[in-house]
Amino acid sequence: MAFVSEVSDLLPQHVPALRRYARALTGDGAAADDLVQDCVERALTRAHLWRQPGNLRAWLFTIMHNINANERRRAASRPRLATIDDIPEPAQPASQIGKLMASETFAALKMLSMEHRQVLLLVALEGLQYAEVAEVLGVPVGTVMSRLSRARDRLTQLASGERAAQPRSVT
Amino acid sequence: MTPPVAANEPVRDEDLHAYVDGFLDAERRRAVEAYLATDPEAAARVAEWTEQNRRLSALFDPVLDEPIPAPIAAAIEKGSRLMPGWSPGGWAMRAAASIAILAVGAALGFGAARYAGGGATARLETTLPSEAQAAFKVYVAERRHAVEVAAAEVDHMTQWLSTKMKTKVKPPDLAPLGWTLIGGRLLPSQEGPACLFIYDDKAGRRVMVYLVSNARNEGTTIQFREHNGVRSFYWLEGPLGYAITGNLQRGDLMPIADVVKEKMRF
Repeated sequence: MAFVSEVSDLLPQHVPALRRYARALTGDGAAADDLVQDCVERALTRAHLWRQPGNLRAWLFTIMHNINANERRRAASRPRLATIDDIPEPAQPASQIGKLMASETFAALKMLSMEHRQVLLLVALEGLQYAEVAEVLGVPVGTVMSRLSRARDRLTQLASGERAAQPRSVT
Repeated sequence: MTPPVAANEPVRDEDLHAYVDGFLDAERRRAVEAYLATDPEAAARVAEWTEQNRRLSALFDPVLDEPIPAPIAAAIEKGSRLMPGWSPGGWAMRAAASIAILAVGAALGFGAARYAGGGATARLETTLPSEAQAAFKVYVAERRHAVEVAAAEVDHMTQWLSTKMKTKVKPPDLAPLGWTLIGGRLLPSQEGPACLFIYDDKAGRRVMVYLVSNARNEGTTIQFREHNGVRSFYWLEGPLGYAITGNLQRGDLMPIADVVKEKMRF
């Protein structure tokens, strides 16, 4: 019982980060929050499985990863619904350049495979250690490193592609 | 711990990633920097990856400041499975149920104060901002169930609360600043009953005035705390502790705190 209340005590502080990761992963606010809600529900019903002193954050990301993997397996057999581009609203109004960079980054991220996106976001956005990412995704650290490397190179390619595609002069 | 990279040794790809992600200790970082000075191509990759990290954060960090959506807040609440069933039976029953949560308040995140303050003897000055901010996240950010007692019924709530807190409690009038009272809610706190009043403005923004019993009659100056985009001005004065809380800019929150401090000398 003690563990159960520990999880429900500590879980709320991780919810904003879970939402951020889910949003970046799915690119869709509604789908992301469904994922977070499922994750929260599952974490609380399985709170007895979490052992202190454990890494609650990594445990929560693991649960979310497993739900997402199952969802995707199921969705693969159904016709795909188009997802809505859901670029988060910044707290302060963004400049034109800021908006352009945001939509470029968003578009490039969507071009990555799910495996690459997961690793990149867990590291670059959530700040998880490589070993934690390996634990969350259930793959060896070597796989995490090679996916991270390929994800970053792919983003670089996409960015230079976009720069090359920009018109060189205006009117 | 991996051995430090010698400055004259080729640096592996993993070292470059760990450098960008801030996972190297100082010694190893210096070795990588020395290497980067000799390899412009690697330095360009590192600069590009650093920029990618920065852009991803710039793009998605605003999600951290968004209110927690109602269904997620409800899942947290329900998941604790310690809540008594809510009855639709009027404000008094809901108030009673609110107080009943006191025993399990930690399940909703109010327990955060325990960690900040270290034990049940934590001073109100420490627990006040964390409890207020937790309440903001759970209730005010949650649009559907934010208000337990509508503005029209708030008088009943404050009468009851005034008795419990042994001082007169009423929602401050923030209309001159453009804020309209939506309603209120009773809450548990480490110090006994607390309440919050929620206001909104024409732009749909929300601000919360949180009041808690200050049984030991401590006094403090106005203090400011920001955590994950939720900001509070808070202070203790006379029989009450106050926390003016919202995800407004500091400059928008301050005049509200000023008005409350000025007007609410019960």
